[in-house]
Amino acid sequence: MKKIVFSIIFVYFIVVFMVHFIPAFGTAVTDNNVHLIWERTNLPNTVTAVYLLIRVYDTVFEVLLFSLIVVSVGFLLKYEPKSEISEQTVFLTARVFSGVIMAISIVIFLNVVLRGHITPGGGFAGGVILASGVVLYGICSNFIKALAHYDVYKIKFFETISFVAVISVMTMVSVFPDVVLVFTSPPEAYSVLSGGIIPLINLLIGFKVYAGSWKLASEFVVRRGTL
Amino acid sequence: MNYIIILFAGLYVISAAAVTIVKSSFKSVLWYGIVGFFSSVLMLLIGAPDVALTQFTVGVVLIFLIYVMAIRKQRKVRMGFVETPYMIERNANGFEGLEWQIISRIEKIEGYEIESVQYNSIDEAINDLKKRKLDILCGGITKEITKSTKEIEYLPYLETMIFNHNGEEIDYVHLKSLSKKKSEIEALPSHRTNYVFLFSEASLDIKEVMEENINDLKENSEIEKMVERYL
Repeated sequence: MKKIVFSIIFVYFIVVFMVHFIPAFGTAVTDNNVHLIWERTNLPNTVTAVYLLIRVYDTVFEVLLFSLIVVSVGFLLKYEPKSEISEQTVFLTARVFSGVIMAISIVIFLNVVLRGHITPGGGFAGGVILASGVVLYGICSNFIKALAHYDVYKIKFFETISFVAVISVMTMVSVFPDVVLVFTSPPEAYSVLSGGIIPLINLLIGFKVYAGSWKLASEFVVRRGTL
Repeated sequence: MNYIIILFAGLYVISAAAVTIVKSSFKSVLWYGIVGFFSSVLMLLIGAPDVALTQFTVGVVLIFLIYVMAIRKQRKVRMGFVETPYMIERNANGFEGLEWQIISRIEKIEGYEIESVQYNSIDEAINDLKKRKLDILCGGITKEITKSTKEIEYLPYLETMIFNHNGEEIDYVHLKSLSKKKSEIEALPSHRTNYVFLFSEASLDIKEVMEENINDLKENSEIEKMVERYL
């Protein structure tokens, strides 16, 4: 009981400290600065303006944190003995449906990632959806096949490329906003291109998150075995 | 709208509490999935559909799958038994008998690890089962015992006959082992019943797995071969 009371008091003081004493950073969203970047970039999309002007650091830290987690899990599980993965016995129905679900998840991934600035979505949501589809396929159909796709399609290589590209583009956005963000002719409103470089960043982040999530799940399954 | 948000927030808190309250780890994971669902609905209602989408995929699908795999692979099954000839008895290699053959299948198929605890009397074992110190109990137990005992679950797997022997009711297996010791035994058939496995209320996931295995054995007529071999 003492521990619980102490924990509650401790958490309360941490929250109070964070709210009152840590200075707010970033730029507050106002009509004025959204309008400014809107005019500056020539893009008919407010999400792009808010994202690139105010939230870039947020996404950079999310990507960094996620990459750190993937590396940490890989390091922690490195010395755990691996279990033998044999082809699992599954119902034909599960096998067929998991394949269909994976195909659907690829389509949703592309939709969520490329249209994240117009409709709800984004890189993280898309990446996790694709990874869930592949994990479901691995568990319900053929884990050996699912495991092999990581090496066959050189996912590790493209994941690293995505990570470097995301960080580079984000840095360029912060350092040279006029070069990266300015579009000479404004794209059509509500089109994919109306997001400027956001669809590209989301695609890269989505791929990075998918590769990382799959790595986390597969490392776990390789050591624990399939169902 | 606010009332709907408050309703879902309440359900979210209740299901989060249920994760910690329920006794079985499998149920806990199920409740975790429900928490994920309510939290994603809550996110949707308060105007963050992208967060709701991520939460739904991670909280309801991905984490649920991984936890279920972890539990099924890491599950230790605590088996209590009363040594009974033909059903479960120790030998040089571990155990043998009809019930052990059925139970040990979950070790091979599901990857569960079985820990055994031996008891001298059924009553003592049932007490531990009620206290949830055991997951499964076996040893030639018939369905009759479940009529007077609450707080436990049972799974019938084989039909048998109860006999009247010297004014006492005795089942087929115990009568058979008695006939080995005595040359002449007088016993009259009384009524039909079933041999059962007993489970604690916290081990319903094990019961479901056992039920599936027994159904498989019955479909493949393997249980008949086992009965011929041991009984």
